[in-house]
Amino acid sequence: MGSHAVLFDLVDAGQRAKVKSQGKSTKAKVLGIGTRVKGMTYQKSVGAALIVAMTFVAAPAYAQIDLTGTWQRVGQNDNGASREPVDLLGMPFSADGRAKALSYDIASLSATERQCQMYPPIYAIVGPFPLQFTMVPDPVTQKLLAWKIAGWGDRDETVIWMDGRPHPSKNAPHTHGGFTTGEWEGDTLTAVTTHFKLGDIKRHRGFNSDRATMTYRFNRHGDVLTVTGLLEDPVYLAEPYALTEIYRLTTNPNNFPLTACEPIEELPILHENPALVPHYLPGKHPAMNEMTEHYNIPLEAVVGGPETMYPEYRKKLKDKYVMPPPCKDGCGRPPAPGQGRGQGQGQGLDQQGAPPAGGRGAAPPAGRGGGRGATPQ
Amino acid sequence: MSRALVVVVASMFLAFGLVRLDAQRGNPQPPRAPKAAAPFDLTGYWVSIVTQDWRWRMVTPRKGDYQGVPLTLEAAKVADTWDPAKDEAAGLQCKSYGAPALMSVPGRIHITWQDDNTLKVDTDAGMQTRVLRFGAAPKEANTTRTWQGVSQAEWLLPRPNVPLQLRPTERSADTPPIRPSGGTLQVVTKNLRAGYLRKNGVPYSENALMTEYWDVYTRPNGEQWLTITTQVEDPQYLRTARLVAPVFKKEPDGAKWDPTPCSSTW
Repeated sequence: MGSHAVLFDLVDAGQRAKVKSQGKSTKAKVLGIGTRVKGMTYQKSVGAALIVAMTFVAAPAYAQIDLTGTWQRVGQNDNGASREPVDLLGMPFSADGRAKALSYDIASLSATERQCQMYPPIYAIVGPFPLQFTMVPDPVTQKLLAWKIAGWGDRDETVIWMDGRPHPSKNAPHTHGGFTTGEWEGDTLTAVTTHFKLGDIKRHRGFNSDRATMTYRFNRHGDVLTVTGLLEDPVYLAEPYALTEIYRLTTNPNNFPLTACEPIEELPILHENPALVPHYLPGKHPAMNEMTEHYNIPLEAVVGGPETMYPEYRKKLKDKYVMPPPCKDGCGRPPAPGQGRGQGQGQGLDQQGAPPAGGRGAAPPAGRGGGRGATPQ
Repeated sequence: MSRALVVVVASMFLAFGLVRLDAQRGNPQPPRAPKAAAPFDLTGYWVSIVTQDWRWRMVTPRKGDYQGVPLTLEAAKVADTWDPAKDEAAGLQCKSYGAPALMSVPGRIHITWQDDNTLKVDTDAGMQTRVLRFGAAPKEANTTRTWQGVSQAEWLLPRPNVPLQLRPTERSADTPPIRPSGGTLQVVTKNLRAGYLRKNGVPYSENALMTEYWDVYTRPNGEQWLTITTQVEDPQYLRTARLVAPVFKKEPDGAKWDPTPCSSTW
């Protein structure tokens, strides 16, 4: 901690002590605390002495770093880049979580009341957009009160309270963004979010419940920011779901989309039948076998589960997996000269190459009933 | 002399004395060895958690699938010629286990201190060993290129002085506002033998430079997790840096340690 910081702390501490101890205790009198020495109380003189002493002594550090700015997602992983509607590879779902995922028909998102619902907090990691951090200072002291990550059109803003306030009662209302507190651990900002609503966690291929907790770790290394997210959910997950994403500090304001959502009539059938909720009955998902057909990955792996994220699971695959024929389309090939950025590069696999399957703003997938904009089965 | 003055003078003497006494005697404190100075304990067994890029990591991906890797055209042409049988026959089955790819290979790692200045990272997948040396970089002139290259390690400790404005305001809870522990292990690796970023022949050249940041965190339930932010720069085969961050969880022992030799096909 810098000497000036120590000075301010001591002054603040002295003021707080003064406020708290309006009456002097018997013990204080015995120790002589509060007796006046040449116009200065002993308490003040000790404080002054400590200030002088600590000014010259190197002290252990507070260790915050500045996160302010816009951080562009690097997106060289498949966090939010599923193409097939049933792709739960490596996702540690419980039986309930798997059942929920496989019953979901993305056409339900076309219902008027659902079109503008926001994604849950994990969307900060799996979504395609940058993170825009601003500092919220205390209006009096100007010290850090909170970090704010701006919202997008489909993600609520995240306010990371740094002042030690507790999380609300478990019965408090839940919002799309939830309630978040943070603290520094060395140079790492750790933030914990609770009280958020049920939402989908990988392009409509799995869900968190409203009892989930999201923990973020923000590690800044120069102009690179690594965010490690751990999603825990006693309802839909059997083990924590860990994801990372890397961001680069950018000065390009065009990287931040401030779009508002406006409900429209997407599927006439849903307007004509407001009670209709598109869904699939157990075992009836029409795209259940697409991953197996495209990549020869056994169905038991495609439907996820905690065992699928551990290395030893490869032993179960070894005798069942046969490498598919070479990739011909949407393979992430680099661009030919003068042909743009190529496939699968930059802001996320889907943002740069083939259009994302089934996501908001995405072209509806052809050839099956499950995509937004498609007719429900 | 008033008591206040005595306290002030005594405090100043103490402060100057603590800081300068050793220097005046010509006995500067020797820097602590990296092992003793470690801000956190990396040693033990860690298992990789494969929740990302599953179909490129848990199985050998199909030929020509380069999604997510910012390849150059030259690299794609090289990758298009990938022939695992040929690699196997040439004794190059460890080509996808080089340092730039190794931490993303599903498996377990075992970290130990080889000596006070050297961390050793063994992997069961591919049975590789990375040696992370602290201190002055070795001369590279006569060093043979290897799959794991030459790694230079350094502890990055939390910064001692930060603007007052960035400190949290008064906290209402009793918990301390900041845990002063923490830090990062930075590892820079070069002198690599050319290999694959992915098992399906996505190449990196021998001029690749890898920079890693190892961050450990302990959850409230005591679990320890490790994130390795990995940046690979290779002007020959990468248009921009390759940036990934594999995640590991610490295990209580090596009961699940399963040494498996390199394979070109699995």
